[in-house]
Amino acid sequence: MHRWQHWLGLGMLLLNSAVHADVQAFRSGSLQQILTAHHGKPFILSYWSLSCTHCATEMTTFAQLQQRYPHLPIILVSTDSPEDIPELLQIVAQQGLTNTEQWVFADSSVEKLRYAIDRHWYGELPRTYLYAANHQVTAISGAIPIEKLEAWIQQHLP
Amino acid sequence: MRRYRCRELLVSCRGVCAVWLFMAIAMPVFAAHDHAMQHSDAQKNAAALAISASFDAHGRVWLARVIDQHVVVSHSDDLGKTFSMPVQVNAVPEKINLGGEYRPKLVAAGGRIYVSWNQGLPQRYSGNIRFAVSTNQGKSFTTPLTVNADSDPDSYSHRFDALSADENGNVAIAWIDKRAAVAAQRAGEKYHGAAIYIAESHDGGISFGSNRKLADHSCECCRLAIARDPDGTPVVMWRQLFESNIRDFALARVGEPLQRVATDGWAIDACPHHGGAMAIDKNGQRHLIWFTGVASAPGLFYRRMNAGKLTSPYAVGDPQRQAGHPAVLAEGQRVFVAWKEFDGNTTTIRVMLSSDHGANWNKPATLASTRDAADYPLLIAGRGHAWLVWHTTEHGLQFIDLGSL
Repeated sequence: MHRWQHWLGLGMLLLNSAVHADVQAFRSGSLQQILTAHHGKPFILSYWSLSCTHCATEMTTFAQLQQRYPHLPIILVSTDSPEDIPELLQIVAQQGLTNTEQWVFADSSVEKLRYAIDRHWYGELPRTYLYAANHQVTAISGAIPIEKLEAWIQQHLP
Repeated sequence: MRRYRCRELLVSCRGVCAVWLFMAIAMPVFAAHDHAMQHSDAQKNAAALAISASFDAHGRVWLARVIDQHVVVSHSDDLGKTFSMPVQVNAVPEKINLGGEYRPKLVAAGGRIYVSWNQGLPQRYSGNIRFAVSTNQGKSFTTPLTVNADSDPDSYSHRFDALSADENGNVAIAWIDKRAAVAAQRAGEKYHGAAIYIAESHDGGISFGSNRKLADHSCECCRLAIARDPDGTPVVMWRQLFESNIRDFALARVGEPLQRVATDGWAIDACPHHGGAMAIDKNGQRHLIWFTGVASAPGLFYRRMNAGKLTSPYAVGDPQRQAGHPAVLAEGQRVFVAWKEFDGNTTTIRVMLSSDHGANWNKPATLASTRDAADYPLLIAGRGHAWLVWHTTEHGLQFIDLGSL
């Protein structure tokens, strides 16, 4: 194999491992990757979509939370597809949430990803998971009032 | 290669037939695989799988799908084995909202081919309801017209079109419309959700009457269902907002107030992206099926409405397997219900049948499955039979015979 082919292969590998510098590809196993990366720490993981009107409300809340609790990781996973990345980035920037970790569904079967995340989640959005430090998780469908999120944070953020 | 796949499907069909005892007929399954379908076969995601199919009176099946910003229509005289070359409906490309609760709609009736779709606009959550008709057997279509007619240019959100057409050139299109929400916002008032609008044509889709509001405060992102009472009057079913955030189903006959048809009490500030289905039989009995995510009893439910009276909700499918996205077909005494289930690896289409107007139901059977992306199931009638139509990445377009009507 020629040397250039090695470089090409490496390039392809890098392209595949990240859909975009700011938005990672969420595939089977990505949730485990997120859990491992945030081992022993509380965090908020929220699934959203471009087509979801209530997700915008939720993002406004998250932007407020991020200002008040800058050390609490907020992870956003879009259930759209990689081709929507420019629009996703635009919306997240408009909401002032650019410091969040971002992912986008990147599997032809959305059902498969959703089922692996939570078989009791039927696709309603936003869908948010509050992870305590021991990764005990609370699942909530729908935009969450900021008071409720703050009550959880005060209980779980060290 | 393609022939092999077709044979493989026929083999798997025999197994299905064994399960599907009550029909006692051969159930050929065909994979569409001519040039016209190659594009959609190659698609990777569920959005590109979103299609509509309808039989005309001569047993020809008509298919609408979207390719590169064009709605295209083709037809098949051999139950989907081969299709004609697709004809573009909109000559000028436009962004078309697709996938999930969106799909292009097609109805073949009275010698005409009616098509509607949702044009995406630059603003978020926005769209126009678009429509075109062919009066020359699908050779060409009229210039698309925008059915939503707003005097206010800022009320740009019209989405989730539902299309109905009969043999006599009566066409009805219902949709979710945010003009009232925009007006309220401008006046500094609160307005929950969106509204349901309808426009009707009585000249075969050449012209439409004014936009009429059927109801205020609908949920915003769930597909609508439309059917006609025996007198031809359209009836629309949708997810409605009761109080501020209870997302249960309602229906309305044009000219009459809405009637609540589900009292699940699913209170949630979220977008379920999960509409229901409705069929109306010749006796005027309405067959309704819908999804609720209410924590106490999530899942699919079926009930009938006869002369304003509702039967008790009947749980359908396995909520542990994500039972959802239903279709219903009522022809004569028979009622068919199809829905999707998923076990973590395989998506299956489950079908159940009633032979007594929906009073009693047989045990549901699995009629198709895939391990890859799949559209919702569709149920259509034609050639004296009922058909399950399902489009998947793995198998292409399948027509599964559900038996004679």
